[in-house]
Amino acid sequence: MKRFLIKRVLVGLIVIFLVSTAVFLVTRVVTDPELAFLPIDASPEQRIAVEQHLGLDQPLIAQYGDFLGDLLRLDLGDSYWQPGKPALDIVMDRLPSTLWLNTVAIVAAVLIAVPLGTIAALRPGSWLDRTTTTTSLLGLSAPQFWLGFILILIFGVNLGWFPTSGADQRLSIVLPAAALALPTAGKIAQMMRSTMIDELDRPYMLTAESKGLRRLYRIHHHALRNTLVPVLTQSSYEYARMLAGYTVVVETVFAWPGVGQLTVQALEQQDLMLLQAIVIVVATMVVVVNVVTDLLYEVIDPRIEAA
Amino acid sequence: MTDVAITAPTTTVSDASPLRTLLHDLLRSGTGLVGAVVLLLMIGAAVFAPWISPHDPAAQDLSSRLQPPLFWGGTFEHVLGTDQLGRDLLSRLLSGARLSMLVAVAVVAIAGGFGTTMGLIAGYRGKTTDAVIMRIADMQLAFPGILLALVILYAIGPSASLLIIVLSINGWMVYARITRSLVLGLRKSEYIEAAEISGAGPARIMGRHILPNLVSPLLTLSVLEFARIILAEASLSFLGYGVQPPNASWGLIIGQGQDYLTSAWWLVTIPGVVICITVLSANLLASWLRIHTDPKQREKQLGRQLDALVVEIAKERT
Repeated sequence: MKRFLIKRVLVGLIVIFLVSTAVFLVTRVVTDPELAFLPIDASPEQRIAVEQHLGLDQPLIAQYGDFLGDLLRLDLGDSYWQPGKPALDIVMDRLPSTLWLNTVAIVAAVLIAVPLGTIAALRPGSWLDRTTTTTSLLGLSAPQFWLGFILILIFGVNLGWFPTSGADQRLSIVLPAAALALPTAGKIAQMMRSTMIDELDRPYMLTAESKGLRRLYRIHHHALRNTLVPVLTQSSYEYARMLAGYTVVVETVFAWPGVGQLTVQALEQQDLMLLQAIVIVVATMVVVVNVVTDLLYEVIDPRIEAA
Repeated sequence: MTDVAITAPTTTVSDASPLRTLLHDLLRSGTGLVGAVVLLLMIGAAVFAPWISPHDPAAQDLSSRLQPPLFWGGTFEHVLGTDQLGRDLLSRLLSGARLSMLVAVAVVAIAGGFGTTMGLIAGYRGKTTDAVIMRIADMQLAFPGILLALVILYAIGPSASLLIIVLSINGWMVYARITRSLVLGLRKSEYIEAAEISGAGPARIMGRHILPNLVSPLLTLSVLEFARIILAEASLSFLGYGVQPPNASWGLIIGQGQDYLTSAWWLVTIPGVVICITVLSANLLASWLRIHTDPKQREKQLGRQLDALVVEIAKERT
């Protein structure tokens, strides 16, 4: 297990390194970072001065070397948009807000999906199964940002139950978390249903039945436990996908002050340093989620340790 | 599926039969048929958009701006209402369908083609080739794909063609993984061994004996990926870094209408419903395809029906 974990951490570090290199290439080679600092009618002299100031007159390899050295020292440069402020600090300020939103969303999604998928699996093909399966399919077919607008229209504008923007109020999190959770709940419920159907078909369930155990007990104590590993895998995968994408659109719709909103702000401000810091931090978060998932496996299913 | 594989070497011309069986079964399925028909209607609407569109999707008419849809007190002139510039929403949706579908189909074709090839090579060659290709795929799966796509689109300058490239780079891994695992399973089967012994080269074995067995699972995956790409394109275009105006895509239309959410709800709601219907149909078709073309699943379904039958008979006897 230890060796396995060390290997996973190493792979994670390589992923972070590769992502960083990709961002470096995109932000230095494809674009002209100095343009963000210059007036539209800048003279060539002004341009060269700024390039020198940013170190852009160096050969690419030298720039890359500096970049890697800074990366090791966790120095991702200063933001262009907020001069004098390290880009990494700005991202870290916003990170808790995003983690909170996404964690609430994934927990909600699992809490919706597991009962829904189990109910559907009890009688495959019944009307209850059809209804729950269609509902979950409908959920996973809706784009998160659009779902956000619909939730705003219904629960914010018409009913006035929940705040629709920002994170200042206690109930502010409800609508953005719902917009993130519902499509994910649909996906997990689908997976839960098919895993549960397989589990209920296993011989050990027949043994439990012949021992005279009640149905609810059999499902709760035997089958449900065995579906946990695939549910956990899927959920952590979905959590990573939320962090690495969906949260950007949802935070934009709800003006949620997290890394997702910061991404759009950095794009609008043409702040390449900030964008670079965001991508590296998010990639690191995804790697952390993956490693933590591997650790959790051992807790849930002791058999995995041997492998 | 197994039948096809075994007969594939001898039958070459009359290979239309599995497809015909598939269509025949599809016509008898409930949800699968609904998904297929709606999806076909959507694709048809996208293809014939310039001919069936009631108005020029780009034509502005400020005198008739923000008109509600017909069922909300609007007119037959603009069945789904108009936007802030007086453009006809139905015509914009039709023209948006063209780009949204084009992007999705192109990405599925490029990512699917490349990913399948990589998976075939990895599964067939094995050893170092396999290790290298699958390591790359695994690592790329851990990338924050959409975020990187956003940065690349911003840096190079957003356009529909760049969107296709970026989403393809981000999507080939699933095809490679599935193809590889299928190939690994097939390679051990006796009929491949028989073909190898009878002197068939790697290219022939791949093309004639392995590829036909991959058609069903890859078809299912492609339909699922089509749905995923429609959503990804919508998100990126909504943020303003996908399809650019004056072109239209479903996500972009929602993005342009979001400021009118409370005054003209149809500008956001209706395009979203169209996205939902399209993605839902693709998902319905894919889940039917998966169960239908997977022999294991069919067997299980049959087994369950038999079990139920046995229980029924037992009940009647007691």
